[in-house]
Amino acid sequence: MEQKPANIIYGVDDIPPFRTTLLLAVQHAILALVFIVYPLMLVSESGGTQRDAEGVVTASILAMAVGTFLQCLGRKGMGSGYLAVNLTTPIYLPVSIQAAKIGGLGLTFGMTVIAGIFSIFFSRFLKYFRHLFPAEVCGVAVVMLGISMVGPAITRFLGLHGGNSVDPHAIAVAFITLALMVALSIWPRGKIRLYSVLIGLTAGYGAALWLGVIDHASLQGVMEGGFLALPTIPIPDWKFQWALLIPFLMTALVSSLDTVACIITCQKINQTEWVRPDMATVSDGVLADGVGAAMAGAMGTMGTGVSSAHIALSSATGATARRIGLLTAIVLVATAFVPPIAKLLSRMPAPVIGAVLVYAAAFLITSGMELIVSRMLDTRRIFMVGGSIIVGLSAIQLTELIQRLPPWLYSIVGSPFAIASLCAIALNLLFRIGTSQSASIRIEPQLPSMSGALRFFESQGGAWGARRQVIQRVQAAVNELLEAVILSDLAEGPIDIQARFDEYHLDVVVLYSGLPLPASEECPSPEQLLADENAVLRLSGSLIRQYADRVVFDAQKQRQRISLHFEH
Amino acid sequence: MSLIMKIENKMPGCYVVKFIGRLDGTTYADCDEKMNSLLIPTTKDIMFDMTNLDYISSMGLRIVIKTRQFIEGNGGRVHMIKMQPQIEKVFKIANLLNGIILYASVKEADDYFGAMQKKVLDSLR
Repeated sequence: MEQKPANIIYGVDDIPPFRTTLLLAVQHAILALVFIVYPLMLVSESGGTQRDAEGVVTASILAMAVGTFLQCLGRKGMGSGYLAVNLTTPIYLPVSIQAAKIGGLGLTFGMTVIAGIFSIFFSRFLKYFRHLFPAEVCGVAVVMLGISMVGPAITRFLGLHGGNSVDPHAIAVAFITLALMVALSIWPRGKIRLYSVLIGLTAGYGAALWLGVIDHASLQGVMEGGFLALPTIPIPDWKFQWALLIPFLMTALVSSLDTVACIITCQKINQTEWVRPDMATVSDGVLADGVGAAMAGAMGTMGTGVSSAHIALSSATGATARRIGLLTAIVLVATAFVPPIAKLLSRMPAPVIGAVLVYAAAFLITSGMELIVSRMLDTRRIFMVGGSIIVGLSAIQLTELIQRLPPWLYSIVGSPFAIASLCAIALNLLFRIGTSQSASIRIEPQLPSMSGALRFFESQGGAWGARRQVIQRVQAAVNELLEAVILSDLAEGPIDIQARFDEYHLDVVVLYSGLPLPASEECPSPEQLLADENAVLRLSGSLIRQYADRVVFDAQKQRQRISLHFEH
Repeated sequence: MSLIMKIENKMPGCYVVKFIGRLDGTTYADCDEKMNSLLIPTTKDIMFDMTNLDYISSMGLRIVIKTRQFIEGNGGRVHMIKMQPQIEKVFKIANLLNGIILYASVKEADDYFGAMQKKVLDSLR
């Protein structure tokens, strides 16, 4: 059972009251429907008709519902089991528009099915690649997820038109929305924090209407076609083209990596003592991502993927129960029967969307930083983290240059998240060259030598990318051990310290010739400590046992051997 | 890997000893020497400010025990300000927290000294 962090009101396995679950599901569904803007952009960029747009909107809502349900299910290998809402992801947008321009929307949908199937295969092999995703690499990916949102967020937040002029009314609307969401997440007592985004969105929409940021006339068509209607999807004319295979497979890979980062973020949000990714859950999540994308293509819309904005929302509001996600899927299906809701939300004012993206980006960037600093960083890792983020930021800075690249390359290089993540994975692999998982040091039995032993673990911890907490425990145990051996003159010669690390364990063996260290588990009383020199040795033994997860005192080839085992 | 000790005489017979760094076998001797200069009959209260102490070994604990035995034998008290979790854990294992007055912050300790000073001044009037 995962230990629920203090800031989480409803953890992943919790069952909130039905009314609360419903309201939270509505909040997630509203935020999801706001992003219907991406499939609408696809239709508009490819010159589609109004009928195409209606069909794509309905298919998108149903695809999001199916993807979200599968992702939150977490049973029999399907879905991560976390509250992770699926959206028609902007990652698929560039190749989808390209395909639609070449062969119509049918080609986009056909290629999306292929991309989804690729993600399904990829998910089955993901667990063998766990070494590619240490905590600091995951941290880079999560930071870049957040940074990727900054551009679209600020453009909408400031109401930027044509690059330079800002719209004061747009800023006012965005500020009201963001201020409400932040304030309600921080100060109120009770459970109002759960609904901070819903309240912020509603107030932002109201402010936009009041300040004229959205035109009242644009809302007139909302009720056309009636309040209730059966969802209808035209049968797509699926097509396939070899030339687009590589761009779509690369896009599927990027989407899968995005899902990996999102699910790792979910794991971290839900566990107080998060240590490393649980790749089984991640694989199941990528499988659901692939199935969702394939079904999205089959239903007639662009590919879907896990929404990082929704994960940030669940963290900010403190409600991460998977039941909320399952109910979100049902609410989404229900909205497909009420076209005005989707129409209204797809007209969500841009500054309001900008405020939500700023809110979500703040959480993701901080979460990624926490992941990065959870491990010790030596020069290799510092360069891996810093270099990868610089590469990601360069992709944002050099947009015009990158747009000139061939489409298959653009789908990777054009995504700051994708290029930074791939760079982090590659540099991590490259810098593993020359880093041994075993190391040893020999010290003289003198007190000044102890600092050398402690520096040895500091340096090795950085090279291995070990958890700082574990290295601190190792240093404390070794310090105590050496102090006892040296001050009590137990060693008759040099002391050898051997260390071996893998992602799960850190084993330290201390060898010396001389008298054994008392292996007593009993802790002496304060009076005994002052009266008896041997009592200090017994206290050292007790402390060493507390610092290490397992201690074995024995002898090997006439040398005393103390083996310390630490879980990592 | 060093220890910085700052000793402040708050009022006659009352000292605040601030530790910064590590109190272990390598820093024990120097610390012990400085503490010995405080362990005189006129010393009634010693307050250890543990806020910035990162590590304490069994040898470091001996200094605290020795100080406590002397001060309590002299009719005084040993106080401690804000221990980091890893230090508190060591004190718990060694069963040394009983009888020590703990303060959550420097301000809380200052308030204690302020009240004590007032009491002394009132008794002199």
